[in-house]
Amino acid sequence: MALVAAALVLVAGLDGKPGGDPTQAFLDQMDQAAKDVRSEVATAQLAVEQNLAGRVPDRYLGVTVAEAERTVLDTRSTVVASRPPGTPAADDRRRRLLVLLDRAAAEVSAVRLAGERGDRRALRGAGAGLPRLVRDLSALTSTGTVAAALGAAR
Amino acid sequence: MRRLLGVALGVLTAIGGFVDIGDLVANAVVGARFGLSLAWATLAGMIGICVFAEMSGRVAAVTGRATFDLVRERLGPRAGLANLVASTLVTFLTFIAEIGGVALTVQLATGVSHLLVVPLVALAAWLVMWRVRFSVMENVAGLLGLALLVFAVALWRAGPDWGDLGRQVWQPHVPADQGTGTYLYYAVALFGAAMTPYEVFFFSSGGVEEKWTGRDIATARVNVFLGFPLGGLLSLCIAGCAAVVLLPRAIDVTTLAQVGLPVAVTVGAIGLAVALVGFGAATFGAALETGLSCGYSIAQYFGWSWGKLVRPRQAARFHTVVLLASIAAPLVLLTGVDPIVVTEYSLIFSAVALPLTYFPILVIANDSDYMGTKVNGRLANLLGTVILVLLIVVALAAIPLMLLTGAGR
Repeated sequence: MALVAAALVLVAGLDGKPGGDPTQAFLDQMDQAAKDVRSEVATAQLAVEQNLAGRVPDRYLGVTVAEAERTVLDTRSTVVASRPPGTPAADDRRRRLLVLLDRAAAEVSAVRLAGERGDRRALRGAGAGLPRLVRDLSALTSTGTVAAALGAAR
Repeated sequence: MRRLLGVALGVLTAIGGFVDIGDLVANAVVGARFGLSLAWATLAGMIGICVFAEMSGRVAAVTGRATFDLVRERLGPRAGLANLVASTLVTFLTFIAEIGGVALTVQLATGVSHLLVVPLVALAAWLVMWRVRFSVMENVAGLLGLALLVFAVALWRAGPDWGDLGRQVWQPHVPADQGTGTYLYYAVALFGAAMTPYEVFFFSSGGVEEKWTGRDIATARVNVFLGFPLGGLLSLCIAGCAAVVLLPRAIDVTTLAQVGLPVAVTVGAIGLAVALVGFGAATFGAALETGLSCGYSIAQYFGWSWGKLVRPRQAARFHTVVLLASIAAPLVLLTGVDPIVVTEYSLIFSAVALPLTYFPILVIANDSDYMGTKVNGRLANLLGTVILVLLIVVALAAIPLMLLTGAGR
């Protein structure tokens, strides 16, 4: 037991994140939500690009995008149900994130529908907004490195 | 010539059989988040599994008995029971994850929901475990698992900066946007993936099933020391593909579909189809190994007759355990639990159970009453002891790391 306790104490000190500030904890939570959704939107974008290039079959695209959509919707529900600590910074971050999550839900859903219908033109159109959405979500996260890298790649 | 072919077949199946759902998921997740900066954990796990698989294979060849058969006798019923409970629970959790992995692969290939496929996969696995000859079962799954070599092709075709990848391997560091705790959590997961307990149970039980003798030790060593490292290299290729294709796009791997995307990007639709064959073979093969290992461990501990070579009527309790596992695993998955999440937890709990699994093997491999002149040499003991210390550290850190990082978030 002593060894387990020692391990807990050691590990607790590794990341050194402040645990007491509710605003910071809430901002971290929103940050993680933005990163999760950015990952799913980027996945949908990559799958659409590869499908249009003939490298990913329609069924694989369908499963990939449906899973991305489910995560986006789950994350959106979590953020909608979240209770910010009442500071302007927390309220502002939540409001801005929800705008992007609404966009993500709508755009990924449109991609899924176009894929299910086998409508390549609609798929191209629905997928066109995804790169910008990835950039906007990146801008909302605390890590500028990925946002910068994504910007430089385009 | 026939012996050489047998050795070659053993090496190929060891490569193809090395990767399972845990390796697929853990390596892709880590590659997409940390690049190859955690390759050291895969390499350490690979050395560990080589050392202990060789020991357990040697024990099986010399004594004609498998791991659990000897653990209870050598360490007593209480220590043996602790070993049995921990190892069997982890093996069953892995069995669930493997069945889920096969179902997810079928879903990716056909579009049919994995929940509809899960019962059929479990039935197919049970039928194979019940009816198909051991050598056929092992060789077919292992050889088809070689389809995962498409990840090596994909990495090569991606044309990465090899110098940069090499630096990530040899000069590991925690990326700026990741915490040290998260980095260590995934190191534990990779280590757990490489050293999953069922691998040694299956290897030693398989040795008994195939009636190994002292003359087979050399063949077993070639399989272990050549096949497993090449399997480990394959794991690194999966991580490398994720590092080159997914990391720059900020894609975190949470689904099996994402694991296959780098192959589609660099090799195309044919490559993706080959990868799906590899996913299916690797997970189905591991489902057979884990399902049988549930039966092996319990039957060996209680001293029941066991094995596929024994008539089912004579090994009724062994086959009943395998059947019950094959019924229970799909029931767990039908609750809607995500197989990838089950996989991630199975790796961490596997890490917790590691010392309980591997310590008895080290003890028995050093006991001249069982092993005669084939006891461990100095090198095997040195490596085994160093790895065992590492296993204890990993086991102690696994749960605290999981709690404090929110399972690697």
